[in-house]
Amino acid sequence: MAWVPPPYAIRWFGPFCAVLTALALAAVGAVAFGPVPGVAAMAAVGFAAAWGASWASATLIRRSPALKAPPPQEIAPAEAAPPGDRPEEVRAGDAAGRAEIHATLADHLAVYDQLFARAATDTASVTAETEAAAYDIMTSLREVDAAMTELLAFLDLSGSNARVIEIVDQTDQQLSENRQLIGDFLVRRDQDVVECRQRLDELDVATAQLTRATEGVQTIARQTNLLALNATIEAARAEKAGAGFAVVAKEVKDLSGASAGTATRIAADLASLRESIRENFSTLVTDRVESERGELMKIAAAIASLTENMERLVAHQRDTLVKVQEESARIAQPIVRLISSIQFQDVTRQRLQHLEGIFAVARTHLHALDLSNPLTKSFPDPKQFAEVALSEGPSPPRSGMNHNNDIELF
Amino acid sequence: MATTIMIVDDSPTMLMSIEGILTKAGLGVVKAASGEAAVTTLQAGTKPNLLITDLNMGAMSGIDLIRRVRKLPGLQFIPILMLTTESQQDKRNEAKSAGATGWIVKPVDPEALLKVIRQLVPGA
Repeated sequence: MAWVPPPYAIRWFGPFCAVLTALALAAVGAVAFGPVPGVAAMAAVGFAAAWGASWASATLIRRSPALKAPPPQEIAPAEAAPPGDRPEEVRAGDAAGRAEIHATLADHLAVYDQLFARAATDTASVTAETEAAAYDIMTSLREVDAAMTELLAFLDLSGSNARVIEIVDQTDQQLSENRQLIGDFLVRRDQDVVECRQRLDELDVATAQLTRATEGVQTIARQTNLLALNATIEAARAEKAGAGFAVVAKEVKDLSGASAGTATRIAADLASLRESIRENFSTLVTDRVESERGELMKIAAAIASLTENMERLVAHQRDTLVKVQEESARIAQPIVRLISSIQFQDVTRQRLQHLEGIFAVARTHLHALDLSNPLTKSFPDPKQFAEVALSEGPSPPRSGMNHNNDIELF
Repeated sequence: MATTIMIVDDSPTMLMSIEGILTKAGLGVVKAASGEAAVTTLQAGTKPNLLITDLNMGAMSGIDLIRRVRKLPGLQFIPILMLTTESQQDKRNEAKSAGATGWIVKPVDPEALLKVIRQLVPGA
């Protein structure tokens, strides 16, 4: 180990050399220039030169590696000798080194403090945002659940399905009655046609009787004509006496001819009337009834189609309502589970708040580390900090836990 | 008379969650967002058949609330369930000493919660 001069030697080395140099130069000046000016001048010059030289040498000595303080990181406080056993300059160097280390540490700790503050802020932000999101989700779930519950209640209480079936049954019954009415009407119309035909036949019989009556009239007319002819012959045979009788016979003959003609016309008119009635019956009754039957059959077919479509509609609606009920009930259960699962937010919130507490404790610990005094030995207990920071939070991780005791009745 | 359950929790989400579970089961619900609000409601005359409270709720904890409720007239014997994320035994013991009827760790299964309620409130 290199020899290090004691501090007092360094401190008085310069003045000592200056005095010696001044005395030497004063002696030389007295010999060379006389006792008074020579001594004074040379002593002053010598003193100044010697002082400057001694200052330079002392500076060089102070800056020599042997006398410089070791780097701060090489100082081990635990191994440092008690201040009383070390030179004052060394203790000053230790203090300077510690100050530099403490300053560096303080810079690092300030960064950690900022990091913890940032982490606490972000954690609080995450807590608030997830809480808001969970609340929104819960609100929406409750709305969906309320709508589903209302729908199911409506279906159950109003008996919508049964009501629709009831309405359709009533409609179907009305349609069936309409079909029955149409059928009854058609039957009545058929009966009317039959009755008309009977009336027509009766009319035909009556006409035939009248025709036969006219034939009798014609026969009588012919016999009357023969009688008139015979009378005319007898009147001619009686000559003048039968002249008047001949006139009567002629009138009788004319009358019989007129009777025969009238009977013939009556028979012709009856035949024409009979033909006209049959033709009109066929046109007015038969054709019209057939036409009505055709139209009514179309209406009946439309009613039948309407009934069938109504039954399809009812079946479809019944299936739809049943499906709605089944699906609503099926969806209701997952919604309840979702509503329950949102509880995870509260667990997460409390775990995050526990983290915020840890950050706060860490910052308090950092602030308690006073590094402004290099010689301080008073530091907070790291074990106590670790005990608080690493303690189990209010919501420990659920995985791996025994959940048998999650519900306990005292 | 319908069964009424009072829920006390400082989390609106938790209040809605438990309310949803209970109302779906046909139970009446009274909510309070803090221990103080719960005490005020109870002092105003509300008589729930059962009370469910969170543990950590700011100024008045769930255990403090239980102690207050047990001193209110007519509420000394109503069942009180502690619904919390915590599961430490020392906290359970503290709640039991304060007068809690049971301890349920969040998150709770809806059917399990309803089973406990029906066990404590016959006819619920």
